[in-house]
Amino acid sequence: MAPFDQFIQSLSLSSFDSLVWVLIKILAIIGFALYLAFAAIVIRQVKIMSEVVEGLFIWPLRLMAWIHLGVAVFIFLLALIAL
Amino acid sequence: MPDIFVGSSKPKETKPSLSVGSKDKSQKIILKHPLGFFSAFALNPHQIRYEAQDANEKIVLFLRRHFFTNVGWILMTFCLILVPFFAFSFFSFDFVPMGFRFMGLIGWYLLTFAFAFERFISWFFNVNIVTDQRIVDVNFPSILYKDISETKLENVQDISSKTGGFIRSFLNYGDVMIQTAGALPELNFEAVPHPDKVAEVINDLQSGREDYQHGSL
Repeated sequence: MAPFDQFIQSLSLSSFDSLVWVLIKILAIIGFALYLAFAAIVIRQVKIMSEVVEGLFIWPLRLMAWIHLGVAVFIFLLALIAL
Repeated sequence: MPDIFVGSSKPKETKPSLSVGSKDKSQKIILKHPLGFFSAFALNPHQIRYEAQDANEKIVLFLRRHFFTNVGWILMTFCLILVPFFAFSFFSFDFVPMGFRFMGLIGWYLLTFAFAFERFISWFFNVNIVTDQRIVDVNFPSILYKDISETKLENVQDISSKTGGFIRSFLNYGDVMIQTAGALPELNFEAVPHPDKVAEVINDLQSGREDYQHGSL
């Protein structure tokens, strides 16, 4: 079989399929990593916002932001494993 | 012989007015509206401080957009929560590997949470503050931007309030526009509760500023 024919055969539907899923996996992991960065920015932003007006009842928001970051880290690790 | 038509001797209770603009200053009542987690209107909130507040400066009004303005994004969040249920009911995702389906679902709910949380903190921290010396408008247009505008009370030239539409009239919230003589031509308090009272308080503070500083208002 000529090399060109071998190359065409390697581009079968199943290998193309798996290539697509690998691409999606990479994009998904990049997406979850960006989300992780966003979760960290939210914590910083809540801190900055709360410094403008002191005395507001904000501990639930801070707690929520930290839980959010924790969940984002967990899901990023989960994506590395599950995908 | 007892009188039949004698009214009750119980003194009639007078409901305190929110107004601080009455002509008789001795009758002026400043109500203390406690500042709760979801408060959108607080008069004389003693527990809060503005970052640039002077030592002798006092916060008179603390305002946020009316809580009803959050209804839109709350409904949107519920719709986003329901989307996967409908999607999995009407479409087949058998061609998608199980791991991708699972992570896709988690990703969807993460984004939904991020949307709701971002909208909530945006509502929570976008505040308007009126002190006895200045007016401050704290805006966070998005999570990465901070925009604080303030003007001295003596720079205020004109104050107007606007309440339009069924919901706004029913719930008594609207916009307060403050024209200033400073570098900032106008300050807008959007969708704040009791806009007429807000305008009245600012007018009173401006006209009787010395009285206010001496605590007689």
